[in-house]
Amino acid sequence: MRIGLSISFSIHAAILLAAVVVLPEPDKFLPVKEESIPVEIVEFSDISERVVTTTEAKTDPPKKALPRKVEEIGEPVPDAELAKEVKKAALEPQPEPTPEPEKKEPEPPAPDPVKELIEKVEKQPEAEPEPEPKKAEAAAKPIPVPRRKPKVPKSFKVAEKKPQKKKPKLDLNKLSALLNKIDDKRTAPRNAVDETGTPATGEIANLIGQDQKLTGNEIDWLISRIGQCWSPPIGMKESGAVIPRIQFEMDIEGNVIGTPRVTNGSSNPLFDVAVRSAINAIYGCAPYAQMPPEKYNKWRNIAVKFDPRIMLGIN
Amino acid sequence: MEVEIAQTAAQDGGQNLMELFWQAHIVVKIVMLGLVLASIGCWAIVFEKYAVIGKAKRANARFEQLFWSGQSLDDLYLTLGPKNNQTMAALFMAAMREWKRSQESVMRAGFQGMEKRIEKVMDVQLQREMARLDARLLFLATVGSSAPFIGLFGTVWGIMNSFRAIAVSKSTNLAVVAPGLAEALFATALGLLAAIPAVIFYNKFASDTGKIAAQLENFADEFSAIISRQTDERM
Repeated sequence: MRIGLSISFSIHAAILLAAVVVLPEPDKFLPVKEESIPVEIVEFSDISERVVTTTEAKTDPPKKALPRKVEEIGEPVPDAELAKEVKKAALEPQPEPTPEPEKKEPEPPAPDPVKELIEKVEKQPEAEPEPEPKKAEAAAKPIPVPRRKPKVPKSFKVAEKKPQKKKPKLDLNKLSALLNKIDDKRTAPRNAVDETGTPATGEIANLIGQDQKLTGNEIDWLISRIGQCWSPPIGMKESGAVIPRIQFEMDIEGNVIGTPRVTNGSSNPLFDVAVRSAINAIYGCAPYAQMPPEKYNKWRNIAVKFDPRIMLGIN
Repeated sequence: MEVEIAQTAAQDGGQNLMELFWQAHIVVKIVMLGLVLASIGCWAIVFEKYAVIGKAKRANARFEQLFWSGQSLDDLYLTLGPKNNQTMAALFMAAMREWKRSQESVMRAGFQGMEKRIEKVMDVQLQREMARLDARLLFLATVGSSAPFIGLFGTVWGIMNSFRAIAVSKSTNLAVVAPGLAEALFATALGLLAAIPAVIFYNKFASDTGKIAAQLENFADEFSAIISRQTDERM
């Protein structure tokens, strides 16, 4: 018996060892990210999202690019907008923060072409024609280069040169329109407030009239925030038909009040599961403190569609 | 979010067998350990029985050759005497011992009582031999019939756990359910692993010992017939 036991034991140990060593680990299948996501992003929330990113990004690149551009192009010329702002600034001390964001608006398109131009200029003479005309037009104060915010206010020359500069602006817009269609919208409304959003308390008064444009931005933030807490049930992404629409109320601090309600229905058995997960997500990220209180009326009672493609895409 | 889910899945999901074991609930662990021990025991018995039954078969074959070779029973008794005899030889030795002891009483009481005693002695020896051969075979039968159920118990327990995990996390993600299911199925796999060889070898050894038992009984009958014939010739 002992012999049999020892043989048996050693064989078991060997088999177990072999199983641990030899058996390969199962392949980890990471969920494949849908390629459609970027498309959704562009369609849905591109404006607001880009504004946010550009305001952040603008500050960085300009610093790097500034010296060269300034040298090559000449002194930075304030845009028509800048001029207006400057005027405002002269009138009111408060709006000072606003001009900066405004300047940033035109910039987003500008940095890319400008950099490109600069690079081209450095590398190839071919690219020069483009920047040169601008220089010619603007003489000493050509194109976009609004980055030197401090300088602009210092040099109030702007007002005279507005007409001339408008042309270059148009060109820039066209260029930028090729890059981002968003710019059109930006140039059109030209609300400094839009991009700054909530930050300065002093601007609230200005903001009040422009609620609707702001809400797009805030709602995007809200949806992406909820999306972060949301784990859609299995199979929901595949069957896009089941999209619960849930309405809920918040107090001014962003806490959820009462119970969220489902405003649509479906006989699909997945629907109940999806609704539950959606409500969990709403409670899960509950205090939406970043929602601007001055627009409380706009977002107090809000309905969110839990479409996995959009919600997760925003993430 | 997708990435997070994937990460948690990578952390929770057992990748190899050892992880699968260590992540399991304590009950499932006990079940798995028990099944592994049962499997070890089964194979130990299998090896032992294989040796014992093989030896018994060979011993029987050798003894029958000797027995039917025409040698006189007394000579055979003397040659086998000092050895550690098994099965058929043991039956023969028990009968011969009884025969020798009965030589004196035969004078007074006749051969009737002696034949009966020899049959009884051979019967007892046969029972002993069969008990030795059958020993622990029942363990194989028990494991073969109960191991699947024990494994099933572990499986049910693991599945219960994974359902509780669903309830707690309020998510039906596969990442939540999968670890529990994996360990649960692992328990059933171990149960089957222990049970299948146990059943196969139990059937094999049961039929082998049955054959040996039949052989021994035949020999006992034949030998008592021979003794009966010899006593009749002496009268």
